[in-house]
Amino acid sequence: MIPGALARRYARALIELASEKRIEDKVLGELEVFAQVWHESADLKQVFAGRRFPSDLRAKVLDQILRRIMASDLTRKFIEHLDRKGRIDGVEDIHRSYKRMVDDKLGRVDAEVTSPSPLGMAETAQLKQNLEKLTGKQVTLKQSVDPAIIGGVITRVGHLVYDGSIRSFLEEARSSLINES
Amino acid sequence: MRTLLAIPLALTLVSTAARAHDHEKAQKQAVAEHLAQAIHEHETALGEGAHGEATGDEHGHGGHDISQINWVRWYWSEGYTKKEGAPFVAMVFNFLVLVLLLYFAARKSVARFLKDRRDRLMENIDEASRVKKEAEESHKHYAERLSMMKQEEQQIRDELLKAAVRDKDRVLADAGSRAEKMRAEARRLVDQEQAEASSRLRREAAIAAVDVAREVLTKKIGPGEQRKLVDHYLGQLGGQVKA
Repeated sequence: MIPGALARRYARALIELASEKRIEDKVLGELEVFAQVWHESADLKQVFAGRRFPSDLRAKVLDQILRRIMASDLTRKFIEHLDRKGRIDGVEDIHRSYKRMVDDKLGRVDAEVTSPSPLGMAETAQLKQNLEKLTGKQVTLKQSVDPAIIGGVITRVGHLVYDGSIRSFLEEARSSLINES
Repeated sequence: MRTLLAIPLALTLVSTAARAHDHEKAQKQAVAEHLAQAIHEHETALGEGAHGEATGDEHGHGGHDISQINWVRWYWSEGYTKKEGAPFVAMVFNFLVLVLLLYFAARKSVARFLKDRRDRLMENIDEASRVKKEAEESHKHYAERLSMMKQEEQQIRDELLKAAVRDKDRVLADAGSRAEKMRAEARRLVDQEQAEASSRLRREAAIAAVDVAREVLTKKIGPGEQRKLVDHYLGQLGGQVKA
């Protein structure tokens, strides 16, 4: 973990370099894979944590991983740079900042849709279209199922939440009744 | 000087006393002998039948005769016997000498003593007068103070009485006010408890109603209802888009 401001600074430098080569999406994909590997591998964190292992061994480990994910030269140099500076433990924060910057730059936004049962194709398409019109950006939908919302749909776009669930309706009704009493 | 005068004076007194004692003793002895002789002669005369009473014997009477006192016969006078004792003149002279010696020896000291005594008495009288005056002043002062204290006592008593009355009124007023406040507080607490109980009941009723509604809706909402809800949701989103 590194401070948010530092993560944004690294992400800004990376997107500037990637923009020069127009490979922002490619770098984003590689960085996302590496961040996921980092997130899931406790052994990897132990190797790099506190820099207890020699730098050549760490370089070999990084090389193996980057070969597997077929990282571009820019991504490879960036991650090696993070290791040299002792900031590789902040790669997940840097990935999040970088993704936000790339999405902003390319006019994209993620939307998370929650429903008690999976939505149909037509409903999903209609929802995506409505959200793109609402945000003015290209929407990437991620669907999840949660029976606890009883009925309806909840959509989160960035910091905005469009809640049309029965659970929220009941909660509002209860709050209203309690406040009225 | 006084000591030198006192020594011969003492010796003279002792000597005089001794002589007086000897003289008295000798006189007693002479009288006793004279009395014995007279008794003897009287008995003899009675025995011989003589008229003692008619003869008028000079020894027939009891008592002393002033002619028997030794006025001026000294030790060295002719016919002097020790029975006669010292001459009376000598004793008078001794006494006069003693008086003169006492006068000259003790005159100044006695006068000084008397003067000192008189001075002390005067001082004591003055002191007593001063003390008396002071005592009178003190008595007057304390009498005035006593009078003032009585007045003050009465004044304090009156003030205390007034203060007690005021305190009683204030305490009664405070008690009344406090009782009124307590009644108001009790009423407020009762109202608050009632309001809270009412609110609690409504809240519990609302929660129970919502829970029942949740159970009912969970059972009732199927795919058809969910589709309608999604359509409604999409319609609302579309409305926002148009707006």
